Amino acid sequence: MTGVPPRPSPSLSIRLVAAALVWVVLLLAAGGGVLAFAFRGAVEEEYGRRLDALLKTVVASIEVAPGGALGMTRPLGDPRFDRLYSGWYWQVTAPDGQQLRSRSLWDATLAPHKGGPDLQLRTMTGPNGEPLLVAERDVAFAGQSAATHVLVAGDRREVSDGVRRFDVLLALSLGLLGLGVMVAIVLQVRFGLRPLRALVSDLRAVRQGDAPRLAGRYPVEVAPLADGFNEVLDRDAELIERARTHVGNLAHALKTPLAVASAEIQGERDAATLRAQVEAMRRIVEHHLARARSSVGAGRYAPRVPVRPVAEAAVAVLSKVYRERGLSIEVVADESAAFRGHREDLEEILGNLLENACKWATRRVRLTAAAVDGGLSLDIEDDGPGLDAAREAEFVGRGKRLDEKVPGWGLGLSIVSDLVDVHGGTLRFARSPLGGLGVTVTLPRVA
Amino acid sequence: MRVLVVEDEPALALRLQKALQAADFAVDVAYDGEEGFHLGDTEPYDAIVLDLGLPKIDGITVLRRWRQAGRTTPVLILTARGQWSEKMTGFDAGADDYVTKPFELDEIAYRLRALIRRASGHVSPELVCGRLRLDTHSGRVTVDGQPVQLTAQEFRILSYLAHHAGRVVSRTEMMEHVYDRHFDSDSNVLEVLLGRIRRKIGADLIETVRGQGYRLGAGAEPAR
Repeated sequence: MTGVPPRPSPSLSIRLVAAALVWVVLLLAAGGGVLAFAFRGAVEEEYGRRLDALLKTVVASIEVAPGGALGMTRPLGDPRFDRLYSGWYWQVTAPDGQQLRSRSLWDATLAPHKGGPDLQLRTMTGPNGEPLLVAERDVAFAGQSAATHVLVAGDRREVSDGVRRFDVLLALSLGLLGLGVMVAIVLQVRFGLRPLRALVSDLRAVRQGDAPRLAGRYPVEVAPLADGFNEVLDRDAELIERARTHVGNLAHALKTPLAVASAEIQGERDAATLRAQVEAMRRIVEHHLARARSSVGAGRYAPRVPVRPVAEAAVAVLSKVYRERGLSIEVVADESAAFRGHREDLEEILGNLLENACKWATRRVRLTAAAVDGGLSLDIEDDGPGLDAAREAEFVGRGKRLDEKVPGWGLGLSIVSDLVDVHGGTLRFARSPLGGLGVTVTLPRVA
Repeated sequence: MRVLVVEDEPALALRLQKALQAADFAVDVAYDGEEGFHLGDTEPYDAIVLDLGLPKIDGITVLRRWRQAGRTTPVLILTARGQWSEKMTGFDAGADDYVTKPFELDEIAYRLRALIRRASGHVSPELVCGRLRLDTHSGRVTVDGQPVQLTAQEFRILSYLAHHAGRVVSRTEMMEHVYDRHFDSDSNVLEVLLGRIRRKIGADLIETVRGQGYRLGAGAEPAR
């Protein structure tokens, strides 16, 4: 029974946790990405608005002299525009090429971009290699032939520094959240699978003989498993009990003939008595062997054996053996007629009953098999002499061993009687419409 | 009639051999499947008794191989009680009859005679050939209703001729079917015995076909 157990597949906990881990990481990463992207967009938009406001201030401070020359009416007031290469610059370019620049630019020039009257934002590299965000537009002043290009630049690092700080914070908090969720999932899996672990430890207790069956209360998902296992256990116990009874019966039944035989051997030798006792022992042994063999297959785990193929195999044997008698052996079997148990048991029942019918039949033997109330009914009839009233009573009497001296009613029939008994069925004898004996085997439904 | 017994249990094999010899059969015995298959495949037996539980090659396989090799010799299988499965498998493999252990030795001889008769196309246990009647079971032989006393060897020869009445049976065939394989076939015992049988049943019933063999009941219809 003990083979090499198959390698267990990965544990349920690992499956659940791994699946949750993959999912949580994916979701948090996607959420973090979206958040970071949205934050950066908002910050840059705000920065652009600030530059726009500065640009408007610059435009407002520009004054066109009557000769068309540009000049600043007042300084901007922000010291960052005065500090050299501070990253904050403004620059005004008149159509004639005249330029006004913030002090911070010193003598550097930022390349203007051909734009339009609308505000435009772009990035570029400043004179000191710093990354800049540039806001620029063309402004038309009264008394000027063409538009004047106005540009304000701010250090982009102020934006990216803020964004980076936010990203770090975001990653930290999301990581913490993920960790928390995973811990919660691990706890949940352990808690959720606790009944399974309980089942395993209960099983161990059963195996070690500490408990007769699984007694714990299990959740509905596991309960059928436990119930099924309990059924198997009960059945095992029942089978063992039955086997014990059989062995006991056998031992008990053999005692008497053995006692008689040994007495005979010690005393005067009486061949006839000895032979009779030996014969009795042989019959007992065969009786119990048949029972032991068939009891294994009886019951709800027994396979379903259709009657027809088995009946036809038996008829094939018998019609060859009794070929000279010209018997007609008829099999009427529903497709649904099936036996629950070992195929050998059905072969034995049908074989012996049909053989018997063939022995006695004049011309006809008929087997009728039908599924009745979920069980099975088998009728074996012949047109032979049948039974007279006296013998009929003898047959119907329960518990009586069938007489082996009557030709044809040998051990075969007592084996059938044992088998039918083991399967919880009944064996009845009656007059057949064909004129001879009719044997009816009724086997109950198997749950 | 010559039969093969394939049985591994020496005591049972010996009992079978003795009983069948007493019933006027020439008997060869094989004690395992390999030897059994070989003998059954090469020697012209009239019937074979085959136990199914054999060493080396099991009985069912032996039977299957014979049938695959085209041997149609009737085969009687010995099965245990409560083993209908075995009977079904055996017949599926080509068996012709079964006897359930433990059996009466007489029953085996009876079944073998029936099998041999069936194989040569006779239904009734009594073979009729013109004025000659031969009862295969009782061994009674009558000519014109008058009983004839034959020895066991004489009966075997006449019985073989009666089973194949109307057909020329060669000397070799006769020797092969009437004696077991340890018999010295060069002796002229057959001619001597045929002469004695002719004296007992009348010279005209057994015809000698020169250079070919012997024929029983020439001109007369073989009984069915």
